[in-house]
Amino acid sequence: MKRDKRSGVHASGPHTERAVVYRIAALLLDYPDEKLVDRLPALHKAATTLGDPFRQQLEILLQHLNTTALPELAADYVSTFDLRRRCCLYLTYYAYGDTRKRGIALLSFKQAYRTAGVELTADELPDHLCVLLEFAATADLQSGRRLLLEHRAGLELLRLALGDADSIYVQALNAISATLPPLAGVDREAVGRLAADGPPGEDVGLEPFAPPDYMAART
Amino acid sequence: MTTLPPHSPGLDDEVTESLLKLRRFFRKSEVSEDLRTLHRIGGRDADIFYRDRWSHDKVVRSTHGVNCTGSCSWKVYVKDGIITWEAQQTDYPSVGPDRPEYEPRGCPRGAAFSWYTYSPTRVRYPYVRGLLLEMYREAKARTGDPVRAWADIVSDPIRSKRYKAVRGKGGLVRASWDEAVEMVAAAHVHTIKEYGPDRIAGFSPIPAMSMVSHASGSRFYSLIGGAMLSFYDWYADLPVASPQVFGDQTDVPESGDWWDAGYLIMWGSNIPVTRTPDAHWMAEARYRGQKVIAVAPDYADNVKFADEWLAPAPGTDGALAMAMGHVTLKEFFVDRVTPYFDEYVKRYTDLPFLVCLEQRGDSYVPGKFLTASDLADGSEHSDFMTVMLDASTGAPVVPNGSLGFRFGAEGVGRWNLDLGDTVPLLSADGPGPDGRSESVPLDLPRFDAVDGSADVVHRGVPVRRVGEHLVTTVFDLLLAAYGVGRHGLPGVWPTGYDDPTQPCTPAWQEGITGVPAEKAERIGREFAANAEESHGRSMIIMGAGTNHWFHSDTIYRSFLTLTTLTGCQGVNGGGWAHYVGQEKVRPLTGYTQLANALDWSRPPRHMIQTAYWYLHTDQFRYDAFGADTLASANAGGQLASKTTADVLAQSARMGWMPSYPTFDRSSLQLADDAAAAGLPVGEYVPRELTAGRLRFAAEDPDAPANFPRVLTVWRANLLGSSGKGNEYFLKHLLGTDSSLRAEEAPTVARPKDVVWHEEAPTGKLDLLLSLDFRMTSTTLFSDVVLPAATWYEKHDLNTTDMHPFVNSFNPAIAPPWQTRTDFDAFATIGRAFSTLAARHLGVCTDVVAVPLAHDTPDEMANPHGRVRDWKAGDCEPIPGATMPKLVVVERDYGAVAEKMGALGPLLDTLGATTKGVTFEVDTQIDYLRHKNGTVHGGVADGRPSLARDVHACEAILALSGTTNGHLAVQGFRALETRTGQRLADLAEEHEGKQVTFADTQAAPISVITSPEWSGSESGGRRYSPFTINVERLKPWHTLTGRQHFFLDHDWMAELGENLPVFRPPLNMQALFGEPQIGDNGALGITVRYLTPHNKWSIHSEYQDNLLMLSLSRGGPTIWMSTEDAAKVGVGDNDWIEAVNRNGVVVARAIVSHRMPEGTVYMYHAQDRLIDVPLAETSGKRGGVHNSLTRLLIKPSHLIGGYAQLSFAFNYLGPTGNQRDEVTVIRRRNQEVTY
Repeated sequence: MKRDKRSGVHASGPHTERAVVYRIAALLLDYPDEKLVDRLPALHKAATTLGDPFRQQLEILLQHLNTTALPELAADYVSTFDLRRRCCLYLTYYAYGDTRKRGIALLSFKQAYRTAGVELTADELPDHLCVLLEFAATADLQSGRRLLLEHRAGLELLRLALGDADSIYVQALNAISATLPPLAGVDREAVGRLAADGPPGEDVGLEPFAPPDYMAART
Repeated sequence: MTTLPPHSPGLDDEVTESLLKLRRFFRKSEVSEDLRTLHRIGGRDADIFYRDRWSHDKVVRSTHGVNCTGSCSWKVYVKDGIITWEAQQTDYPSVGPDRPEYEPRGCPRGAAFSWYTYSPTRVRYPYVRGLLLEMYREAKARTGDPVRAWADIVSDPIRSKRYKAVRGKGGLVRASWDEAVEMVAAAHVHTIKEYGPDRIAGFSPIPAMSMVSHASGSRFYSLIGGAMLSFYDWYADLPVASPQVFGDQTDVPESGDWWDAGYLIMWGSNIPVTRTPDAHWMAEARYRGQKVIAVAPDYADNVKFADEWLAPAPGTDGALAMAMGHVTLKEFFVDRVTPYFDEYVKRYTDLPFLVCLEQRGDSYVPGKFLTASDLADGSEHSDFMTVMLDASTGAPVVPNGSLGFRFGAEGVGRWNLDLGDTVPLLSADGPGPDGRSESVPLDLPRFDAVDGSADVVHRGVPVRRVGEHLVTTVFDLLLAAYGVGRHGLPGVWPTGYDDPTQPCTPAWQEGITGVPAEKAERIGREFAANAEESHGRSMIIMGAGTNHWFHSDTIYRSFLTLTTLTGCQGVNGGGWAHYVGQEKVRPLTGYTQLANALDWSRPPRHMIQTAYWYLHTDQFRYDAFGADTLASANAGGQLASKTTADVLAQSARMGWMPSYPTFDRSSLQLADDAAAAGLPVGEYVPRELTAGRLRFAAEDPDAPANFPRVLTVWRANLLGSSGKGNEYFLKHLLGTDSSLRAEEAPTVARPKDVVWHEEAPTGKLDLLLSLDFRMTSTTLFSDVVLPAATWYEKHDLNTTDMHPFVNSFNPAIAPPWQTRTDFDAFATIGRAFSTLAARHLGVCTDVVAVPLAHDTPDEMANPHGRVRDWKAGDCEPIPGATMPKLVVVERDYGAVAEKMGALGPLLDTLGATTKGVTFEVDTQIDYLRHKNGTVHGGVADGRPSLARDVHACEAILALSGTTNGHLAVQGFRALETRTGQRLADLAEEHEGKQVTFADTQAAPISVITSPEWSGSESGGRRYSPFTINVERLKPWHTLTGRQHFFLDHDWMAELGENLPVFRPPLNMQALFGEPQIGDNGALGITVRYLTPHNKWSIHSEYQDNLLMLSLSRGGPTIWMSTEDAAKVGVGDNDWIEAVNRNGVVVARAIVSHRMPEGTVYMYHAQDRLIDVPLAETSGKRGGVHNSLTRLLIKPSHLIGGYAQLSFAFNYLGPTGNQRDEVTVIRRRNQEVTY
């Protein structure tokens, strides 16, 4: 990866547009507090610079956040994202569940951030969607998109779960999804599989407990 | 809210640019100048770490911290600040040649734990229910003060009802630590100010598993005067038989000692499931020739490891054990004398001691132990010196070692089991000194009817006369109780083993348990024969399956009869091995000082939790039967016309059991009132009580002034796991929706001494605070939830009874998000509290009412265990004798945080006492000053610091004999003075050894033999309890100083439990009008409802872990037999509803041949967060396993102030048993909604 490929804030065009979508979505998907409320006008202004469908999708969510009382938003956010496993914002959870592979998956995010010359400072896991979106928007769009694509299935699953829960936050996911190529092939199958089975279970120790030649002899 | 600007199409570079520069999570990474951090730059090489996954940055030692008895040391691998792997440690000290080692230790549940760290279910932020937070913010803005704000909310019936009614219904929002803790602190300050500190309680169980985490909160509650709630008795894990028989809370062999057993019975203990890392010992010992028996009603996982399987009907284990005892007594004591057993029981048990017989009509009943005072012996404490007969002279002898020798000046050097020249006479049989042989008929209780009703069995015993007293020995009484006849005795006796009509023959038990008589006989014989040949190496591993019943104390006494008669107690490879819940705090003395803040103020308030919730969740209002329902047919009427609540109040006012809140007046106010009256508290309080101006709060628990107001739960899940009577909690304590269906007691059946309020209160509790790292049934209902660090994110200490090593916790990573360790969380709460308290409370005087304590001279308050109730006019209320001790404690509320953070000065002057042994710890205090540093300024100026969790770890290790050889030797020397026996040599080999926290970080460390425990590990031997008692003639902490078969307290006689006796499970039809087991009506089939431990969630793991949910079926399940399922048309995996008066459960049925007909299992602690649908019966969400249970208190568990039957925290108290319950089950509509 070369530095000139990285999205900078001075570039314009589709790259900037995606970055803006990610930046706005990252802020809107974070816990609603006074800071967010203060920021809403600016975000709205930025959203108006976007083309459709991003603008439309983000504006629905912005509108909701702007017209709903903060305590209500907070309680809704907690019950949606903090207490509901199916709607969690941790992308590697969808792919790896509560298995020990998840640690390595988390590391891959951390390494990608390092490679791009930035360090995660906040007390948040590297695979949190808001973290990744901020990374893509402000540090390395291409690498960020690569991670998004790697976890496309989880992202879609989150979008479906939010839709099922009638959550307004589905709009942010719709916008993110719209920046990515249409879902097809393996990803599509993966979404179907994850939707049906949930995150994978641990399989450590479940391999056949016998010498390979014995196993071969049996088959 | 802001107004959105009008749309302005097109890119706005300025806005976009500033937005895209906005970084919240990231900063530019920097490489340090010394290049110690180096990052790979560029391209696909970034993925090299995938190939590099085995090279970790560090490996950290830790273990799992709540409830898990395993105490397995784990390696936690960390790479780049992320936990990537965990594996078992393999560096346990060797147990020596010729035996298997402790490693590997660790089970799948432990291996699945670390993923809580990053799981989306993790509690990451402080949460407060939004409605309450808004109220608080509004009130604070208005009143300008946090304490006034809290008072403003809770004193307003409308607002407080509103926020309580939404408990459990979501609405949580994140809050900052500062704000959440400020509100919590305000609630504490207000409650102390308004009602007194004993309206506040803390609950955290099983300190051994993470003692600093436990002690940090417990220390806070002890300093402010709040009550810490017991857990061992509350969990029904306390085998009450242990204090009754041994005078000891629970002391058991380490698992490595199973290897030493020649004969092993697993009785109601499913070892591969519940003691997974230790099960290998049992499997391996078989290859050494050990015979293994499994006793379990179901085809449990351990059954397949056994040579033989006995399957008694649930709850009837006592009958089987009594039949085995019958065989043992007949064949090894009566038909012939077995020298090993004979010598053992004469020296180490109460069997040779004399009991007076009392005449009742034409017959007799056992009375009280004959004591030296009955012989007109003028010795000090002669009421507590029991008497035996010398076999050579037939004359009465007062041997050393009884309670009367333990505390007084005359007993110095004589509290021991040395019999000198005396040969105890085991039986009164045969001619006495006057040449006459005499015997009398005896009425003994029996409860073996199907409905458990009381009856009498006529037997007889040989007697002697001592002065005017007609006496016999405990041995003779035991033979009569077990139906082992001898020539020429009056009464009705079994005709043989095959007599099914007479207790306790093998044929008799077959009718009760279903176990073939031949098997009971043979296994009983084999157990004893092995003990005879091996000199005591027969062992019974006993578990919750036999310990969680209402009458489990009688079941256990029948087990302990087997191990004690056969000389197995105090012998390696023999005796009882009870592994239910307790888990040993090996560094006991140090832990006790820190947890109870004994270094700053004494005594702490310790409450029996079962009684606490029986009253405060108003379960007492639904009991329509008297305390004498369970009485013996010989009862003297002491419990007649009293309800359980009456008996509880009586026990409290007599100083037997603790009772908090204590009085219907604030304990701070009481001190002020006494001062105003110009009287010392010890005079003022009895005067007010007698005049009726002051009452015990237990006599009016429903008065608002007597409610518990603030409860903190940490390391625990009260409402998802231990809260028997869940729906009663929801309704009365929390004031939210419940599915309670029971009816209150009718007027005639209501308490007499306890005030009845026409309308039962709801929502008694003002604040429920929980600290956890995951959402549980408890956090769901909490007003405030604080995010806790997991066990891989803190420093702490961990020990177990299963192995003799001290393990450490170490942070693999810092607590992520906003989580904090319990230590830090309580330090934060303590600081916030102190700030507010300095302003609102200042320095107060507190009157602490303390029950008569075990292992102190208080045990001698009630000679002969006679009930003396001052309220009934039996005596005057005298603090410390006929009522609780009253201790005045000064509380500097502004200095609580300072005191939490330093080791206080009381240790220098009073030392540290454990089980009657006082350690002088000046040297250790000085050491800790250097090790931890000293505090500068404030109330703790110059004291050793406890500012950090590692400081607390160092203090615990330095102040305990098990981890500090100097103290172990010192304690034994003190004990040598009292006993006159050689003891210090047991620890001298390690006198210079002192375990530091760094040692435990390096490897698991073996503990040192110490007087804090009863077994010896000298020379590296395996731990077995009571080996010091047996080998060094140190008395047990009982009335006789020996192991007790006979208990002569008034209430034991009332219940017909002087001696081991079989009592079947409670009859819920008679008590509560529930249908009979097996009834199959329109509502479904009635079955026994048991809640054993879950293979997929105990102990280091919870059900909500996805791995565990996958391994089990996920969601709530109930196991049913194929027979019961067929009767009500339930297929495997069908949705069913279980309903009884206590509540409703919706679950899927697991239909399995494993289950016996008539019994269902709903595994313990299936949280209501996991897939619990709405119930058809109530229209509300189905409950948890405890929705169908409730508390039932056995009056004999409330005995206090008498020898071994005296209170100590988690040592004695009513059990929160739950196994006698029944429920009706039916198939429900298969369409469930959530």
